[in-house]
Amino acid sequence: MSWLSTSHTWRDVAGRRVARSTVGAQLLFALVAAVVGRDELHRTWVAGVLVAFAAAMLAALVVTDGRAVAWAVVVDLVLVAICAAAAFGLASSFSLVGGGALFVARVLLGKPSMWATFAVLLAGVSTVATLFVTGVLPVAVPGAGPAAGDPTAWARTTFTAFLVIAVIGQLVDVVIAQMEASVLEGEEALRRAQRAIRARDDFLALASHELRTPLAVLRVAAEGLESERVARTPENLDRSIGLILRNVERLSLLVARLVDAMAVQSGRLTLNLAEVDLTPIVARVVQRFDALAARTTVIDLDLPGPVVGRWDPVRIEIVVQNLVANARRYGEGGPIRVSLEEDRRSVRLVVRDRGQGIAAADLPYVFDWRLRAEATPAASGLGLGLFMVRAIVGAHGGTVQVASEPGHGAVFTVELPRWTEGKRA
Amino acid sequence: MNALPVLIVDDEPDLVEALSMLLESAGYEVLTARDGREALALLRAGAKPGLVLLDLMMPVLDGWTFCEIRAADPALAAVPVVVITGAGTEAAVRPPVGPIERVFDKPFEVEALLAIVARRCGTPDR
Repeated sequence: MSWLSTSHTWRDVAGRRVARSTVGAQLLFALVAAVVGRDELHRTWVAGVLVAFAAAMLAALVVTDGRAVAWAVVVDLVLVAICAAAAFGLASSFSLVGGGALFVARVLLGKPSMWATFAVLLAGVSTVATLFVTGVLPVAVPGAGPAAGDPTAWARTTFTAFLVIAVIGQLVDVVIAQMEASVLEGEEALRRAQRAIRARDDFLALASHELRTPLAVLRVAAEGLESERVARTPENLDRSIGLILRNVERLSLLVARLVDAMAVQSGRLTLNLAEVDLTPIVARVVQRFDALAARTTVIDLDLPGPVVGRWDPVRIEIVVQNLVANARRYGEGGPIRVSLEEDRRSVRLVVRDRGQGIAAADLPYVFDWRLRAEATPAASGLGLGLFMVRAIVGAHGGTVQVASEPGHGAVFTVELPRWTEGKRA
Repeated sequence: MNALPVLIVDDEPDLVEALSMLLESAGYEVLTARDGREALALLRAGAKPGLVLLDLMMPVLDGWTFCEIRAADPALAAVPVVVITGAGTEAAVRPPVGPIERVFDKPFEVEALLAIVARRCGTPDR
């Protein structure tokens, strides 16, 4: 029964308070109606129906765990209004419905705002004014009021007093809810900000670590040549140029990946969609790995021919690249199989390795941004590979899944809708 | 050539190549290992480097573990070690066990490294 418990968000706060006070007000009206209804018949059925509604609403709230708040309140208010009209006259029921509708609007529309508070205040004032105008609210001063000896006049005065107290109570309720909501929002915002700062610090530490190695290579190669500490033989010049070019390329890639990762973190990854054929992209990545690995790892390719869809070709290449790199890193030199399957609506890229596999306990965290500052064996890079795979595939409206049996390798399956509209990651 | 060899322990092939080229040009004999385990194997097989250039974050057996094993083994304890580290605070936050000649943060000054190599390994004849 979490709708009764301490709330966590403003919507819970507002919803639960409205639900609780509506049920409470209903029971109060039932009591009053039973006492001051027009006649015996009204007194009986109005009170009975109101109690039944209150019970039904409570039951609905319990069953739906508070999710039915808004609709329960709408239906309820209409019924309360009908009963109130029957018991006390039409005019007061209008102001009841008006005030109630404003509450519902407040729950449905969002944050409790100054306007919502103002609206409730207005509803309260108009309710009391209506009661005065329609004569429901007598001036309860002995000798100056309605005919002495009319017991229902006193009863109506009591009812009105209850009503005014209820309206004021609800108003206070709204103000408190609003304050609670702002406090909760503030706390949540602070927690979010602290998490973001921690993530950024970890990221910067790791990023600087990754950037330092190629920088060190560049500095040794360039300073060595410049100071002629490295003899400028044709062979050394070739080697140095190779080192410099490779590490400039490595730095550029790292920077590009950092920029992309930051875009994902801040929800700003935007895709450049175009109609592309996936097959040559996959083939190109595998070819690159073949050259790099000097064919120490066998990569089997199973491509069905052209697989055309609307994707971001650069980002999709990163997906393929990261999955194959991951398979190579953890595949322990065993064969890797990369295949493409397609149907009318979607395509599937499957990358399977024959390495140690992933422990069941680790499977849920495979796509998390793993910080490798703890110097895990066989790990290098930013730990961003699979994190980026999920972000990019997600931005395309697709999914990526992993299945693994320890000792029998891992299978990563990317499913991409063919004609993605593109979403932000 | 009377200078002692230099042992480079690093899992970054490009940095190993750049340092090897530099040291070989200066006339040093260069030994290389991709991780702490290979380095220990070389030392236990009788290699006598004048200085070890040690990376900290490495697969299989990292620089910290290498230093622990070195400190516990009297036959290895005397080998001077220079740490070359990627993260500036790494060695400060978690200092390796045993005496360390110096910690170089990447990217480091080539002349400073050559000076310490010359001090420990001597100056090659040519």
